[in-house]
Amino acid sequence: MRIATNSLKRLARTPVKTALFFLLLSFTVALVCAGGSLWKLCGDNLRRFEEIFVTIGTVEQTPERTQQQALWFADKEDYRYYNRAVYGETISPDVLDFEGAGYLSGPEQRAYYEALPQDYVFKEMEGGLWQFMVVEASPYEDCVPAGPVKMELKNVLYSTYPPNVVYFYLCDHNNDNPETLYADKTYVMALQDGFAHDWAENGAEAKFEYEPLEGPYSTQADAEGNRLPTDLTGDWIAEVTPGFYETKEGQDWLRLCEECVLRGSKHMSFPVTATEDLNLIMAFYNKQAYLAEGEFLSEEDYQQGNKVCLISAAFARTNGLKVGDDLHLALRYANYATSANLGSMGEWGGRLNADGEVYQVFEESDYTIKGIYDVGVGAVEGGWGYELERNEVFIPNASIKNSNEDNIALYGRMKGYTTAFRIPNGSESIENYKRLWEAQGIDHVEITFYDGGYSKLEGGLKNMRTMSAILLTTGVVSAVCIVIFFCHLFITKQKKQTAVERCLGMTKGACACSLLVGVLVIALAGSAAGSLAGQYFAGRAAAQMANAESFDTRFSNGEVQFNMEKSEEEMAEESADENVDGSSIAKSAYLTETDFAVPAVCGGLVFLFTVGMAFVGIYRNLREEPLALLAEAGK
Amino acid sequence: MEKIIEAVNVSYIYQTKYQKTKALSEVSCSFERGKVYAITGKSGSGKSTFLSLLAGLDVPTEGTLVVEGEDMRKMNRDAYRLNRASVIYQAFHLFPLLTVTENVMFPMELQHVPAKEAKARAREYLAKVDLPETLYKKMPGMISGGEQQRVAIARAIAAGGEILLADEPTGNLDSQNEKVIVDLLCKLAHEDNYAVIVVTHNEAVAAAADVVYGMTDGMLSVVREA
Repeated sequence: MRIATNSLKRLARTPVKTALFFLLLSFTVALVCAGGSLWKLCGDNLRRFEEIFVTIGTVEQTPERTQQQALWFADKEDYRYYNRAVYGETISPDVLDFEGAGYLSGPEQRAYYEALPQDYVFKEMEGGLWQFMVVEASPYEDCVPAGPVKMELKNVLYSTYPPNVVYFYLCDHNNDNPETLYADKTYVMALQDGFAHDWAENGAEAKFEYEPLEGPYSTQADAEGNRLPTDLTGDWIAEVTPGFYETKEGQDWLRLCEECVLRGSKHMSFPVTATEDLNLIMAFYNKQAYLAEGEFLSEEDYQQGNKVCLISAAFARTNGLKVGDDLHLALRYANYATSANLGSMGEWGGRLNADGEVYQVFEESDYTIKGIYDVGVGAVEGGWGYELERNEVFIPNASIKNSNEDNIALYGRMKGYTTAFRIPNGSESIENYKRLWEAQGIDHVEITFYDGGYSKLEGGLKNMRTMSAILLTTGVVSAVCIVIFFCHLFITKQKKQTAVERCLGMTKGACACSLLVGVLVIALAGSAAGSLAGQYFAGRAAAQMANAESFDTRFSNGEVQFNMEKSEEEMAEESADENVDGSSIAKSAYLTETDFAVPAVCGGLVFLFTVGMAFVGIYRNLREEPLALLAEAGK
Repeated sequence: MEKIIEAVNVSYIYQTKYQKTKALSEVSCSFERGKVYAITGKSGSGKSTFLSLLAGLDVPTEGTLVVEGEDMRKMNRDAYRLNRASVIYQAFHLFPLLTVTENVMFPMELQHVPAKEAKARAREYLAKVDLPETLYKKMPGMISGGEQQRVAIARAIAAGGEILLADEPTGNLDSQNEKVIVDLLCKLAHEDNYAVIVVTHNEAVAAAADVVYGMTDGMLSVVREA
């Protein structure tokens, strides 16, 4: 105890040296701790963002050229010209299967399946239904429908809603050379309600007119995407002669009507999209569609092909469905060419298989509703193909057990809204993919990557981590130098003191204690102070980092995940905050709390290093006999 | 008078990485309480080495040092230095960061004497070596060489040993202080019964000694006996 007291007295009587050691040690420990803390924090943030961000690529076959196309407009009595994209051969998504691509999901060219509507109720489109109908009609007089011609309605074979008229006007609007219709003949024809064409410009009377639609047609394809041969022409009109409906042509018209009926009296689409990963669907990726109730489809669901589904909130409300209920899905045909949203807009139900038959259900089973999604603005409207159809149901691709190869109603080129894949996050991953893709040498395929800003964020964090590493290295090197220097000063250079102490009969242990106590006290105090300072500065730097690196987690999994973890009160508070500062979401994912374990460990290591160096110095001092030590000290 | 320490054919070799140097060669002699011994000789003759061996700072390469019948090799030399033999150096070797009193208290602290008692005794020893009380709280660097040597002597006797070894104790002192120190050492031998062994090449110091040994090339001879 007295030895320790003397040691401390000596320290107190060399205040400059002692203070300098304490301050320099504190400073370097602070550097080490701040560097270590920030390094760990950056690593934690990178891992966190790695988990919550998703990087996807969408794939689109691009046109080889454009071609001008003339379209006749009867009301203008002139052509209008459009540029039409001309594509080469359809490129198979198999080209995306190359070594080193490193997909996490996909690549998939998704199909949506048309399901039998059964007794489910569908919310009508705003603005009412488009009218499609298959009718028998005759002109009142021989005419050419180059403009509106009056037709007598004789029989309605199918209509989305009753026309309630005895006559209507027909115009083969986009045909510059329509064929003559005869008053003494009856025709079956597929029609849609016409646009309000601007006949007034020509001084003609504006009439509500009907225009031709495709009659029975087929776009059936085989599993490789090749169109199957068919004798269905798709002509919009045919003459009804006696016994017409016993003929093949007449039967085709009747089956067209049957198909329309199968699709439902309201003629609303009930599309089912099968996917390997909801993140590959843009509306979910960018969080325009989000989980309202229940859960998303899980990795296990995708892999095991569990019979679970995700339905829209609108569909759930209309049909009183909730999470856990069963949804009966009867899938009839697949459409690989468009998204459900585009498909439902352009379809009217005239599609038959290549043999002119109605597609039959190939997969039928009950799916448990696992989650209900809702949509934000723009998620169902827009017409770009990336939007969702309002009744769209999502199921795991592997849950379809039967082959759809005989029920592919349409196959098409890869589009951004049908074809996508997921790869690991990070600019390196994207660059690697691009390099490998370019090496494939495939033209006219465009790949667009979406990472929600992860690359930028990753770059910032990596820069920060590099700075942390520099700080850490500088701190470690400084700490080592300072500890060695001061151990030399406080121990090795105290040979004379040690020699005298030994001459006075002090034991080696007591000498070691005399040398060690002072150094240990400073080292302990310096390490502790440095650790606290390092923790403080790391916390400040982390807070500034979070403020500087602003990003929007709407484009990551973050927002939904974090919001799910929060209580309603917290959500309400955040909503209030957002009114003041719209970037509140951006900061929610950032880890800014530094873990005190890092400074504690760093400070502890520096302290232990000091103890180690002190012991080395003490050993070197004490290993000699007092006589030799005294002689050496005298030099 | 009984021998307190005896050297029997003591030889000592300094050994470094590169060379061996024989510093002492078969030295035999003995020392008694109550006498002042002077060992004279030229620099490098081995007298300081002999003194260090007598102080227990190392053991002879050959031969034996016997302390009151006990072979020093078998002794705890730390305890020997602490309790029985003290050394006074030409360069004083005081602890520069301890006060005069604390320096004198130091050996007593090693002997676990309570602080209060150690302090009182330190003051007694300092008074015995005629150091003014005003200097007790001063740092060694703040007092003169003669005063520092007196502090060193006080520290040496504070341990309570019977053997006082001095290596050129007056080497750094002026003639006035030299006389004070020599008188003090003689007083300690003659009045307090210490065995005082002084290594010196100062003739005045040798003249004050009861017995004078001469050291030449590591060999000891008697110059003058009492």
